[in-house]
Amino acid sequence: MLSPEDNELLTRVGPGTPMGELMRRFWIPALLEEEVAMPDGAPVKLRLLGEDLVAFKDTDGRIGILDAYCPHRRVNLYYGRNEECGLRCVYHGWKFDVDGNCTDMPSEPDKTNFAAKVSLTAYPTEIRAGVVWVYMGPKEAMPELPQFEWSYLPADRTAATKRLQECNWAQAVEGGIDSAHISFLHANLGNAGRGNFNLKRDSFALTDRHPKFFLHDTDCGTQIGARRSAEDGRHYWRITQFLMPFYTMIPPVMDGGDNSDGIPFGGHAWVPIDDENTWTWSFGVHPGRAFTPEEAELSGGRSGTWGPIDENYRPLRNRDNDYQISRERQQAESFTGIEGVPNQDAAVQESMGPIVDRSCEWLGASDAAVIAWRAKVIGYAKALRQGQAPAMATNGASYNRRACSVLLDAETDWIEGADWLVHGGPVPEAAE
Amino acid sequence: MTSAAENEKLTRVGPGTPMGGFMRQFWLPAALSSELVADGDPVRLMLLGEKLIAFRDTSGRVGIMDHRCPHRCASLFFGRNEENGIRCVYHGWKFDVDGNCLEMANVPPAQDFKAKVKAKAYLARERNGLIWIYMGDAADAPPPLPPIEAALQPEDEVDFRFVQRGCNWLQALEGDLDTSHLSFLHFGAVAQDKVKQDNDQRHLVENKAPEFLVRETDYGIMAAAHRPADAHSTYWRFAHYIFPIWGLSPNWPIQANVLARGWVPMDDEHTMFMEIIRKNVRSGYTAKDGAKLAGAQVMDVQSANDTGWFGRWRLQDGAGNDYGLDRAVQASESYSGIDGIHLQDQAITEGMGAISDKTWEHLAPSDVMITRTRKRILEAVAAYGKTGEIPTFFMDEDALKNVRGGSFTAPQGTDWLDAYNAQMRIAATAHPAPPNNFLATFLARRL
Repeated sequence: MLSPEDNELLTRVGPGTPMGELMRRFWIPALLEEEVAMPDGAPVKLRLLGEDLVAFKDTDGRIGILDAYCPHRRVNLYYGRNEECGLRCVYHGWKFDVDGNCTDMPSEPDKTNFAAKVSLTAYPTEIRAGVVWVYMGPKEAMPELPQFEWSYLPADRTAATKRLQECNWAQAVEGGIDSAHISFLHANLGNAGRGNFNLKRDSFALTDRHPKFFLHDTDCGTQIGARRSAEDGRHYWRITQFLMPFYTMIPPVMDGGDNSDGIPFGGHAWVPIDDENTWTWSFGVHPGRAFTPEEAELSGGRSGTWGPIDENYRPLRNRDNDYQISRERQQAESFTGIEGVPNQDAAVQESMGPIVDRSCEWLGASDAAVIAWRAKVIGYAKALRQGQAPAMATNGASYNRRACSVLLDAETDWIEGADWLVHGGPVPEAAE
Repeated sequence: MTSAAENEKLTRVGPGTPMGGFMRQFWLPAALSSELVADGDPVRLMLLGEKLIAFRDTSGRVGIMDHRCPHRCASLFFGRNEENGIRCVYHGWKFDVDGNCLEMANVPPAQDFKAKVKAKAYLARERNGLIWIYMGDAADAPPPLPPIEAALQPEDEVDFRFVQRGCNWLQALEGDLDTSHLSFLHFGAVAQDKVKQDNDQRHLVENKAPEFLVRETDYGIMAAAHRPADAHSTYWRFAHYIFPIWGLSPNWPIQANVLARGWVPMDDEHTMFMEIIRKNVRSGYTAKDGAKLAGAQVMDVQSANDTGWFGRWRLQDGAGNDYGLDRAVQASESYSGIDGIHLQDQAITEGMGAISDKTWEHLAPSDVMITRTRKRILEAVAAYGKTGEIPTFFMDEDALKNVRGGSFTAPQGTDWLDAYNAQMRIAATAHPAPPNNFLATFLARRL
């Protein structure tokens, strides 16, 4: 339960809001490289943290992310002409390069140097493994790119896709760190070994449905252990990573645990479009080898594990069709009757309303991670307001982590016992 | 004239509003019994601006509650209706029809706190094919269901009709109170010589400007429109407003007209019309040659219901196609060019805007029932705000025994209430009201 004031603080991300300013101190996944694949191709409408932006690739292949509104008379540059190393407004022909400089002002007499005085907000961009990143914060506080395995490894070992989620970012993150719900929301009926719709799942998540939560601070966020009873007095640990400001890593099924069985690691970024919409990014990585084409399609494609989505990255199962819930399948096959893990998550999270009213919740012991998470991010937002910047923003190496699932003896400390599984592989020099 | 502030007070029904608070003290019809099947799909209900879900449990009991699970606010619409409760699909918490948390499956037994948690469930009752909801403060000692004549009839002796309307409840209800519009909107193009002499609706065609009498009653307002029927008699049309949402309109001759029309606010801008009418009342508005009078049929073409918040009981025609308006028909046969009485009303009241701006109005003497009803409601809401008390007519089993809308002819010069009471005495002998079992049981329990 949160006070209405804290709920506002947690959820509002527009310019000038405490949480919005906190997020602006980090690099943010902005769009897929495929969306701006062509030099001089069509500009892309982009909305991030409540700001309307436009993205384009110029003639030289540089990516620009600019304030969407031409500084002249505020026309949306999405309608502009992407030509000869710049985006030209179609209203009066003013032209801007990827850095926001006005490079042409054909509507004014030649002898004025008005163009030199005019500029447009342009945000720095970087490309890593198919993803365009953007930094929307103050220039003097430039952060490091987070060293995720899915960012620094070669593109053929990584996968990235995104889908629209029609609710506030925070209630989406809360699903990502809430290990308790997998015993229910994603459960199949009468089939303990396999998860939902052919997704592999460790059986202990179904045999013990009330995990006990343990939390451990890391340099970049929080490591969350959900402990369940396993056989022979041992414990089954499902260990999730939360990484500031909006990343979560999904515990893989146990098997090898170290990717030796060929199951890729995955995670999410829950990037606010505005207060009521979120880009849910899904990342995958095979540290040891390239994805096969089938695996790549499943992990990153439009109709794979995270899909299916339409041409605008909106899930085909969405709130307009009640996520295609089938009451027959809910009776006979799965807990929800909704197909697809991400669609199940979206259904319950979006159903809370655009911004959930946290003053009317009843949180229990199984919500320990959610409660701690809220306190943590609110704490960082308040600290920044007092002038204390988040340290992990300039510590990209601290993001080289993994989630895991592991069986430990009852007397083994979970942090030590899982330590060999929670760190990413060596970072190639070229990526440093 | 109704001021902007009064209009706000009359029309806003969400939680915390004066009118919303007042309405919540009464039982309101929520759905047809047939809409809920034991262990079947939960149904989304929008009522008084609150998003609710309704379900029927394994034992046949009806539950209506806030759609949000009290744990983390996930919608119980997606829930599993199983073994006498609805279970949230997010973490498996389960609630019975009274909102008790039966199971908290994701919490270790030692830390279980299900005894402390309740889903926000409202009282629900079923009577004669209708599901009623009580959203008020007195859940421990709720009032009885209202003893409205039509609602007391056995289920198989009445027809129900639910139709959603895309505007505020009050302007929708006011169509039932304003009996003056029938001569125009519905019968304006009917030629006098076309109507049969034994069809008493002919008076609407012959004289379109009646005079009105109004009085306040314990249950609301009653009014009568009168005009000469012939040299020796008067044609009367009686209508009633019953708190908080009911119109008893004089659609048929009073001896047959066992009819109640409820206008249940879904939110400020959507209303669920629900009509209960005794079977075979509708004799049909026929012309001399036996044909239906143009534009005057009851012929609602419903869309299939879907599961959305506004997915129940919609008409196919609507604002999107100008209600099927046909200008050629309007020029020749019917006053509005829109087919069907209900659709005509729908077009006019929705056309006023979602919440009509009543400061724009110029009310005439023929609108006296509307004026007086607004005043009666505003006073009752103000009194409720001050003292917390509402009109309690429903505590008297017989309070609405002689309350029926309808038309009749009486000798000229008869006092209007004498003429009405004489009609109700005939009605009581011809078709005695069925015993109000629920009320009797309720009163017995209280004693």
